[in-house]
Amino acid sequence: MSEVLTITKERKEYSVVGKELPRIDGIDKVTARVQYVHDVRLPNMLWAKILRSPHAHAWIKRIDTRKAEQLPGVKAVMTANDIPNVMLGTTHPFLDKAPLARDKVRYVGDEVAAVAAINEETAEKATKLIEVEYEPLPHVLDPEEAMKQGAPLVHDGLNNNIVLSYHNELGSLEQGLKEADYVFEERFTTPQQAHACMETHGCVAICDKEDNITVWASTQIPHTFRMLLAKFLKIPQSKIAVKKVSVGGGFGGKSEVYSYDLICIFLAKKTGRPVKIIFSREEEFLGTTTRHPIVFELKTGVRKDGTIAASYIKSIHDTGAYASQGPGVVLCTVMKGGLHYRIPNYKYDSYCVYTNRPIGGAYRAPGGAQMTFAFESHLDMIAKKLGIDPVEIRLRNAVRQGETSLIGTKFVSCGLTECIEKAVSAIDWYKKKAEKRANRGLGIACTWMECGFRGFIGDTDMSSAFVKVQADGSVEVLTGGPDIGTGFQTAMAQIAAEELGVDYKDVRVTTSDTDSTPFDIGEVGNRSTFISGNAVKAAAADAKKQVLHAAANLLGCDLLNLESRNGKILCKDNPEKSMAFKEVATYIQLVGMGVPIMGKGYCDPDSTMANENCTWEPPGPSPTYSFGALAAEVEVDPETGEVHLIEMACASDCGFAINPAAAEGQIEGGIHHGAGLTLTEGLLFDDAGQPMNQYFTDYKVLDAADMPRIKSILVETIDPKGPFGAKGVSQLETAASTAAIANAIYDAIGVRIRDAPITPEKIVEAMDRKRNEK
Amino acid sequence: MQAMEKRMVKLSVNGDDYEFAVKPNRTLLEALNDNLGLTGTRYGCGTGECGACTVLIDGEPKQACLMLAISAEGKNIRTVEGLSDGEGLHPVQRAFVEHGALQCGFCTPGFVMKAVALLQENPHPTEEEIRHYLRGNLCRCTGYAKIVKAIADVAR
Repeated sequence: MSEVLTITKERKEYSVVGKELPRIDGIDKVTARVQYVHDVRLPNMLWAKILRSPHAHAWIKRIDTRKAEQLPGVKAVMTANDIPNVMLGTTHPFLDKAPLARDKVRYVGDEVAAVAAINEETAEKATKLIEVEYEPLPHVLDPEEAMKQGAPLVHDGLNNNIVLSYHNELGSLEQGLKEADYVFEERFTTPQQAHACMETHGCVAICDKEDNITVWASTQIPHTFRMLLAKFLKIPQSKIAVKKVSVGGGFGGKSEVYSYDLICIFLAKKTGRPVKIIFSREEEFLGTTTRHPIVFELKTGVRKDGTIAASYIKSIHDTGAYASQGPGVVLCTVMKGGLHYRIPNYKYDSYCVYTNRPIGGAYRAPGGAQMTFAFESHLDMIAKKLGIDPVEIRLRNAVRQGETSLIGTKFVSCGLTECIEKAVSAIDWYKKKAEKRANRGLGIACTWMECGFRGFIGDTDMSSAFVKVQADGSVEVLTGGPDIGTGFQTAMAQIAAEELGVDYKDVRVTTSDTDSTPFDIGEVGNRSTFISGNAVKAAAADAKKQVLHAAANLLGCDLLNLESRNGKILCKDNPEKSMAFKEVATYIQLVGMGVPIMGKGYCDPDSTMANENCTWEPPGPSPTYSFGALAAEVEVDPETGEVHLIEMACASDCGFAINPAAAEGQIEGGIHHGAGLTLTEGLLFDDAGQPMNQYFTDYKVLDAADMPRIKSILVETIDPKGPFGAKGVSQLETAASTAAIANAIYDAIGVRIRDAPITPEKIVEAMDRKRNEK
Repeated sequence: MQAMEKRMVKLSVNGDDYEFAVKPNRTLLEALNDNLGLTGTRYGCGTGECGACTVLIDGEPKQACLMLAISAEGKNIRTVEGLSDGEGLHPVQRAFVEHGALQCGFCTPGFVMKAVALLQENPHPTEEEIRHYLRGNLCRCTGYAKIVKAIADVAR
């Protein structure tokens, strides 16, 4: 059982929520009874493969598909000329990508042609028979180079490679820097991290003769996926059904409509047969979105006591060959630039830039992880220069509950200082500091994260849900959000059971399926527990009301005097007067009334979109925020530069833990991604733009022996708007672990490395340099 | 190029015998998935780096993506589908459920099979031994913490 610390008196004891109940899908997953898109097999199904660009940047001069078409077993070969002129992109108005490249390829991996054949082997063979003549163009792989005048243009017709830039000032940077006693400037860079979901991306599509499309897609956003597909294809949403499959990990990388989805649909339409496409691991590293590499230049003014007077952030975001979610990720980055601290003056200049690299998209704590790596490393360096303890400088600056951030967000629940204190005591910070063992280091970092983000698909952040009570009193929750492994279904079942007053075991959850579930943006942006959870709670309350209405008549008891608890409906002032919940449900539907019980609920929080100046009117882009602090201990081998993660303590202000074990699981998994960013991960390209690490042997994902012992502390602040007080808990630890590890490495070796990943080579080189300087 | 001819193979999987035609270059993973419909053995990389296709061959953990189907003839193959007998879960499976040692579940069968192999070899491994034994299996969701805990619980 994880440690749960409740810092408010408002927490109530509940029957179902707040309990470590086993996952609904646990048994089916350990016995392999769940179905992923990899497992979908339909009668008469074809397999598709994509031919991808071998060049970082080139004109397509000629494509000859004749040999591929003649290969026995091939049913369709497709190039840009064979498909409608649709353009895709996640962030309006940047619809800049054709499903198959027209005229030009923009990175190694860009889709050029596709084949559908009777099996995977034949499809693969046919792609190799497609002849493409290219005229290579100069390319650019570095976002700073790409911004310069005269750099090769990734998209012709634009003046430069800058997709967009945001410039904004809150308070007065100049004034703030003047008031500061010291001004520090630093530069940091972060790598192009790959989500590397264990399940590679894939899709199965079928298109009937009326052009009704059915898609099995491994996606975090089934309803948004359908909405975007309908928009790109210019057809009504009712022509598209997205079916539920288990999703083998997402981490943001499955929150798009990809080119391959459309290719699959077009091939299904052309052949009149179901078509399946599954990425190879090699393809997965190139053909999916990645975490934006970012160059940060930070300038921070501080007073002698370590309080921050002003902060300036310049950030350059490499969004690769296409914009995708780049513009949104930039917003997520700049709204987080250290604003979990009381910073009175803040200015940013941020650029989203095209290069000839794989596409940047959303990745667990998008922008936030990179920003945290940079800002929290910077803050540690400032503390060192001022001679202030790293914990102390954070406590002095941390925002408190009830305060309002610079972007106008009121922190209605905030346990940041408690998180810092708990993380520090759980790792035994001061005792270990006093002992100071050789080559060992301690680091801490703080972060905050939105719970939902208005603007992902326009001026909405909507989740809705149905709660159906069956005639025997059992319950079905219908939610449009998927469960990508986080325990979403389990949490929604707990919320519905608690609200209805029924047994958790009697609740079944249907997710994702667009035919039966109502709209939900999806499992992105740390939003599901807060927003989908509120929708499910409201739907359950609506269903309960319908049951209680009937019960009031049956029991002859006033409606307001009724309560539903532990499967019973009873009069509060006379508990003798009671009926089983299921009896009432049967009466309503089968015996006395003959009406279905269907509760409806939704949540579209009172957040605001960014305006044209790229800033927000209060209350800002998210209804509330989660906060966290993470302390890490590492040991660095001075000979090899190898970093051993010894222990981490992560305290997360999750509002209220609907299922503490699942919340803890999010913390442990989130750290895996943050630690990977800081220590080992990142796509590498040679000078020609050719990928150098498309396999797990070269792209190092941390394994069981690499990962540390983790102590999780759930700090409960009971958010007034969250379902039972809950907030999101899936991104804080990813962000905080990046810098906590970097700071611990500094503490161990006395040299600061500003460019992640902090590899053994960089450590050895930095230590050599330090020795030579002496 | 001459097309590769299929050959008949006889595989013993989870105690059942299957006879089917397969090309000599097909991996055991492909045969399990495509010919036998046993999809619990999963494709994660195809190059033996992620462990999602871990099966037991004569009791030893092997990556099914690195073994040809025809080389598995005459061997005793055990996959995740053969681990529990209907209602009852294998103790490792039960521990994974109880400890919440899974999230998306995609890598889970591979980890479960690997853990079964570990506990056969070494019924009482230390935490460090568990972590090192699992090095060939990757998980992107759990940070391994609860997987290690679940296995340690069975070993206790």
